[in-house]
Amino acid sequence: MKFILVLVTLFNIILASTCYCEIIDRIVAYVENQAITLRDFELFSTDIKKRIPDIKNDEIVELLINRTLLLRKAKEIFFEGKDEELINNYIDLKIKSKIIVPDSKIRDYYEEHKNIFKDKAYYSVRDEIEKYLFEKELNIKLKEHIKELRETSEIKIVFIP
Amino acid sequence: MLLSFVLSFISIFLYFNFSYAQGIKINIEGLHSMEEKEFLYLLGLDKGEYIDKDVITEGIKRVFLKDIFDDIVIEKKDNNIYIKAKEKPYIKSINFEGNKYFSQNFLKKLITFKKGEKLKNIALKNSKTKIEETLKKHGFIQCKVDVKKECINSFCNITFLIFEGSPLIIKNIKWTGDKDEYIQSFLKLNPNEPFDQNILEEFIEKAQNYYEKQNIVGTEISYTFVNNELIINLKKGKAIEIEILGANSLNKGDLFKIIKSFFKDKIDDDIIKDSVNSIISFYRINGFIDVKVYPLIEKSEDILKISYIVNEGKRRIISKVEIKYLDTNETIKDDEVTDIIINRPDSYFNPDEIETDRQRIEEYLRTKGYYYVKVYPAEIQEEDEKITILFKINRGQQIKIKFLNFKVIDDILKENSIKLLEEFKQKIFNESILLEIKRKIREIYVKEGYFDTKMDVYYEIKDNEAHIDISVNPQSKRYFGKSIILGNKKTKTKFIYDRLHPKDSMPYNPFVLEEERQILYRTGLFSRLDINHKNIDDSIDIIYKIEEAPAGAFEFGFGYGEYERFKGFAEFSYINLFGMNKQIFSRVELSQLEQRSYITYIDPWFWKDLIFKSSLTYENTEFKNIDTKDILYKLKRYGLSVGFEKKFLDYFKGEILYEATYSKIWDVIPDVIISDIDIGEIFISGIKASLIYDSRDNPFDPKKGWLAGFTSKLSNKLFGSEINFMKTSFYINKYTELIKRYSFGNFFKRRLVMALRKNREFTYI
Repeated sequence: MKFILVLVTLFNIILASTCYCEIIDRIVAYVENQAITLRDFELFSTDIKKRIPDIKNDEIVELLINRTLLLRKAKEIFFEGKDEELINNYIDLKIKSKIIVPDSKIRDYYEEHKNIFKDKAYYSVRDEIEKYLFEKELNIKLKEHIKELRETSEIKIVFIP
Repeated sequence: MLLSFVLSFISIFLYFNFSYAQGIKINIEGLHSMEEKEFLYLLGLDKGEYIDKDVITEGIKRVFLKDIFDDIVIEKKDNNIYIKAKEKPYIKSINFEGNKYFSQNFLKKLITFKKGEKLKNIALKNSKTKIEETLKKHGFIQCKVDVKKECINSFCNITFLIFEGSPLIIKNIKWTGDKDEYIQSFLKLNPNEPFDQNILEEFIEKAQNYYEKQNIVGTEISYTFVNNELIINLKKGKAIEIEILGANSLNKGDLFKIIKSFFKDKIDDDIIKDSVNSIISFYRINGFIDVKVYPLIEKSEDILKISYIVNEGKRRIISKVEIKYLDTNETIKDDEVTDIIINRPDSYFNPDEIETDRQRIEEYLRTKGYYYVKVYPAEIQEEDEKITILFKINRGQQIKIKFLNFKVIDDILKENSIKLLEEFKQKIFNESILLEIKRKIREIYVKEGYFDTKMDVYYEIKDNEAHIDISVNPQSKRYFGKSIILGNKKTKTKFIYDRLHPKDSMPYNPFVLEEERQILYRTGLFSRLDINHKNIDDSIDIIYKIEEAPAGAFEFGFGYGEYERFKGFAEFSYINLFGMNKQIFSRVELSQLEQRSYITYIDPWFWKDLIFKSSLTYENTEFKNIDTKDILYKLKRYGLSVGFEKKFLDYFKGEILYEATYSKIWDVIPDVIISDIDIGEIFISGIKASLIYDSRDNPFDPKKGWLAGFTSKLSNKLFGSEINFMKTSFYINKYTELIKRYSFGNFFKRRLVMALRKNREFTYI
C-alpha cells in the first residue's frame, strides 16, 4: 500500500513539474491576408491522405493554397454556402460552363483509340469519351486558372510540417 | 493513510481538469504595429484563460486579416502561452538605379506601393512588370528590371535596377491609304526617335476625335513597324450630311440628337432603319400617331447624305379619360386612376402605351384589394383630333384579410409574431401586404439572432376573404463574434471600437450594424465603410473595412471692399487629432481695419455623449466713419470660452459655457455715442447656458422644421467679472418648402439685457 502511495505521489510530483512544450497552432502559409494554419493542414491532410496516401506535405500545402485562392474568388460571387459548395459552384460557373467538347473531337478520339474500344460502336461509348475529354479539359483549364490567380496574389509558404 | 491516498488522486484529477481553465500568463514577442489588447481580443485570449484550440485557430485567422503579419506561432509551455509574431517589414525607401532615358519621377508613378507601407512581394512583382511593360511600349524592347531588397530589422530599402537597353529607332515613316496632311501633323513621332507606341496611340485617338467632330464616320487608322519603318495606314470614313424635311412641330435639334446617336462608328442600312424607327417613336410619344418617315440616301465618293422626309400627320390630344365601373354602372372621371397612367387628359395621345395603361389600372386596383378586377381594353373615340378614352372595369368584391394562421418550430417568438399579425386583420388584401407581413415577421426573428429564418406564406381567397397561412422555421440562432477593424491608418482602432455597440456573444442583429455604420459615418472620418461577415459555427465575426476621408482642410481667400479695403482670410481645420476624432478649427481674418482670429478645440467624445468645447478669440478693430474715413474708436478684445454640449431626446441640445472677455476701447472721438463704462479696459466673466431645439430636415439646406434657441448669460463678480448683468436672448426659425427646391424661413429674434445693479448702460457687451 505504501508503495502504491509513494508511486502515485511521485507521479503527481513529476507530472506537475514536467515542463512540456506544445505548439497550439501556427501559420503554414498565407494567401493575401488569409492564413492557412497548422490545424488546417492537419485536418486537410488526414482527409487527403485517405485518397492519396503517398502525397507529400509540401504538395498538401500547395493544395491548401489553391483551395484558398478559389474560395476567395468564390466568395466574391456567392454569399452563402459551405466552403466546398462555394468552390464547386465557382468552378461550375467560371470553368465548367465554358468547356464544350465538340462532336468532332469525340469522334477523333474514338478513331484514334479504336483498338481500346475494340468492337464497341461509337454511340455506345460516346458519352464515356465525352466525359473523359471533359474532365481532361477541366483539369487543364483549372490549372491555368489557378496559375493566373497565383500570379496576381500575395502567397507565401512559411512552414512545411 | 487512506486520506493522503485519496488526496493524491484528487490532486491528479484537479491537475488535469483545471490546468486549462486557470489564469495563464501570455508572452508576446514581435508585436509592433498593433496594440496588445486588440491582438489578444482577436486571438480570443483577452480573458487570460486558455481556451479551445479551434478558437485559437480562428483567432490566428482573424488577426491575419489585419494584413500586417508574416508569421504567428502560438505555443504552450507549462501553464504559459508564448506567441511569436513576425510582422511584414515596412518599406523605408524606394530607389531606382541604371535609368538614363526615363526620369525617377516617371518611374515612381509606375510603382504600385508607397514608402511607409508594409512590404508585399506581389507589389514588387507587379511594379517590376509594369515598369518593363511601360518601357517596352515606349520602344525600349530590350529593357529588363530587377528588384533588390535590403532589409534591416523591420525596414526594407527597395531598389529597382533598370536596364533600359537600346530602343527601337524609327528610320522612316511612311503614310499609306488616304492622304491628309492636317492629320499627319498630329503625329509627334519623327525619324531617328524611339518607336513609342504610346505616342502613336495618342495620335490615333486624336485623329479619330477630329474626324468624329467633322461628322466623318467609319475612319480606320492602323500601323505596322517592320525593319525600322513605321507604316501608318489611313482609311478615311465618309462625311455624313443629315437633313430633316417636313418636321415642323417638334424641335429639330432633338431630332438631330436622336439621329446622331446612331452614327458613332459606322453607318449601314440597318442603322439608318433604326434611326427612322426612333424618330417615329419620338413622334408617336408626342401625339403624332400617323407619322411617316422616309430616308432618302445619296452616296458620293466622300459624302453620304441622308434626308429624312417626315410626314407628321395630325397631332392627337386626349380630351377626356373616363372610367366606367360595371359593378355599379357609373361612369366617372377618376383622378386617382388617371394619375397613374400615361394617356392622361390634356396630354398627347400615345397608342403604344394604351395596353400598358390598362395593365397599370388593373395592378393599381389589385393593390386596393380588388383581387378579381378586370379592366377591359380601352375604347377610343376621336372627334376633331380630340381623343376620348373609356376604360370599362369590373372591380368585383374588395378582399380583406380574415384569418392569419401562424406556425413556428418550438413556438420560438410565437407570441411576438401573433401580436404583430393582429395589426393586419381586416386590412385590405394585396400582394404588397403579404410582403409587408413577411418583412415584419422576419424582422422579429432577425433581431433575435435568427438570421437564417425561412418562411413560407400561402394564401387562399374564400368567400371574398383572404386566409393566410404563415409557417416559420427560425433555424439556428446566431451570435455576434468578434469585431475586426481593417483599413484604418490614422484613426486609432480603440476609437473605432469605442464607437461600436458592446455586442460580443449577443444574438446577431444586423440592425445594430446599421446603427454602427451611421455612428461611424457621423464622425466625418470615413469615406467608405463596408461591413462584412464571417461565419464561424454559430457566431458571426463582423469585419469593418474602412476607407478614411481626408481629415484636414485649408481654405483661404482675399478681396477688396470700399470700407475695409484689402481683406483676406485663412482657415484651417483638422478633425482627427491623435487619431481620436478630436477637432481643431482656426481662422484668421485680416483687413486694413481689423484683425480677427479664433482657434476652437472640440472633443465630440469627451465622456459618453458629452461634447467638450473650448475656444480662444482675438479681435483688433478700428471703427471708421464710412463717409469721412475718420477713426471713431479702436477696440481690442481677447476671449476665452470653455464648456460642454449635450444632445438629448431627438431634437434638443443643451450647452453650458464659461466665457471670459477682456476688452479695451480707446481713442474714442467725442461725437461717438458709447457709455463711459465701456471706454477703457473691461473684463467680463460669466456663465452662458443655451437650450436649442432643432428639427430641421437638413441643417445645411433646410426644407422643413424648426430651429429655436434660448440663451442666457450671467456675468457676476463671483466669476471675477468687473460688471454684473444678465443677458437673455431667444430666437425661433420656421422652415417651410413653398415650391420644390425653394424654402421659406420665418425668423423671430429678441434680446433682453438686464443690469443687476442700478442704472447701468450697456453698449458693448
